[in-house]
Amino acid sequence: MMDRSDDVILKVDHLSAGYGGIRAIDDISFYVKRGEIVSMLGANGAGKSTLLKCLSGEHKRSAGEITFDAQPLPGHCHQIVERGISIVPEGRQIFYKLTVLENLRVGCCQRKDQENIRKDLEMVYDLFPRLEERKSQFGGLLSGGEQQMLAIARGLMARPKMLMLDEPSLGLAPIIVNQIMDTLRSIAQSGTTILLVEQNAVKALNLCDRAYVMNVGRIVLEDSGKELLANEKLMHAYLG
Amino acid sequence: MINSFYEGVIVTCCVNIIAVLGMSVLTGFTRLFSFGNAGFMAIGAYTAAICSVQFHLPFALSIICGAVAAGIVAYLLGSLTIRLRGDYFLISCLGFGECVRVLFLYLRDITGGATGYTGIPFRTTWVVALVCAIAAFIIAWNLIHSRYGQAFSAIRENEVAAAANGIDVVKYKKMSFVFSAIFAGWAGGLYAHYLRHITPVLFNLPKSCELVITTVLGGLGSLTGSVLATLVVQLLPEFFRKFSEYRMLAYGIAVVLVILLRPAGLMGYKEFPDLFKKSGKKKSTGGA
Repeated sequence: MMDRSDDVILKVDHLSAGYGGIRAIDDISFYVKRGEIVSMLGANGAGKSTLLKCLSGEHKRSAGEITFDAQPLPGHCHQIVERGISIVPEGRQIFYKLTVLENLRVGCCQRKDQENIRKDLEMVYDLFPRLEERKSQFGGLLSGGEQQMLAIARGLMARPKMLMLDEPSLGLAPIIVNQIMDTLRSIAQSGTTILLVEQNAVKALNLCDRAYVMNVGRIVLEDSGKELLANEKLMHAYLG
Repeated sequence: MINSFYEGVIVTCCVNIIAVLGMSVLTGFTRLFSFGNAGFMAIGAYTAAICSVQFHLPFALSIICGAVAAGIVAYLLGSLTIRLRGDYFLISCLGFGECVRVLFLYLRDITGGATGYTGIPFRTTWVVALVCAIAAFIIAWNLIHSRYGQAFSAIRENEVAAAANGIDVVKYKKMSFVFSAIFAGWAGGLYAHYLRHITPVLFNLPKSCELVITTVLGGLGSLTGSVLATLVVQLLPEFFRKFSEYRMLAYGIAVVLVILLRPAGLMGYKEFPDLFKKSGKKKSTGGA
């Protein structure tokens, strides 16, 4: 993967990371272009979540370079969010004992531009009308799908250049998954780059522009979503 | 206008309210337990006393010096210990509180040792104490309802998610810790100028426990609950003077009862005005 034109927003070079002696990801290189939806696919234990954790600053990488928006990525979570990467973590991780509105406010509590915050709040309520209906309810009382919507909305409240999602379809009914995928498409259309980690390969491939397939810590395949969908043998081999 | 007994009760209540409000921000909103806040009270008390007696500073300035001193010590201690996980942080605070007490006991030339520090002018009248307590409440209330308070609550609920949402967890925890220490120092300074004679024993481990217990009783996450609990904890022994020896026993029983009957404390996450809002809402929305 060589240097492309300057519309590459995220560039990862020879990234490795692990837990103790175990290498969870091994010498990974890939890139994401501005405005693109990119999926990272793979079976359990392929290293997808570790990769996202490295990008969000939750896990320290052992080697490699990460460049975001033409600058090296800082080390701490909060600096990374400030630079414009939001993560929607695996399992939603919303704040159960805070109301929906408070959850959203946490998403933007590093920002001081009250006027834009109000606009963004309207924007996420437009995307997810259910959240506005339930804005004064505790986050823990929402259904799984609503919690996922809240997690995405909370991520958007930081006004990210790139939104990373870790398994947003986990444990949700198929109809809700479709809704969420549609919303992700419209988020991308409004200019936010999306990096999506998924096990639900078919859904993710239908949505994304490009996809990478990971297997035991390495990237084994890169192609457009359509091509990968058509390639039944590979689908079967890596994604089941 | 008001006799010295009632003045004593009011001042003690107000001083404890200030200290407990600090604890409430730290424990109730950021979920950090500290069994060392009596240590910060001691630092505030002795600093303010020394400023008044040795340097003849005006009362207000002495109190500010005491509060700032406690804040600085908390900042330094927090820089070392704030990264520790829950119970380890608690133990480090406990150790710190005892260190402060023993240190003040040994520094006889400066603090008067076990016999105490005397000659502090009487400045904390009940009016001063009341004004300070109200000011402390307003400050704490505004902090909790600012974006800093939002960050504290996020850390309380889910530290990993808070970090993922761009909150500098270490910075905010330290901020909360320093805030509670400043309040403790403020309370200590006021207390010294009421008692006129302070000894390290006043700020021992049971005092720290009392602050934590009061906060838990009031509800972790409720400022008005903390005030209410302080009034209960401070006033009940006054009415049952004869049994004051059994104070800690009563605390213990009270805590057990509250944990069994009202696990979220007297007020839970609710503030006092919410109680009225809730009942009004139920009427209007009916069965919804």
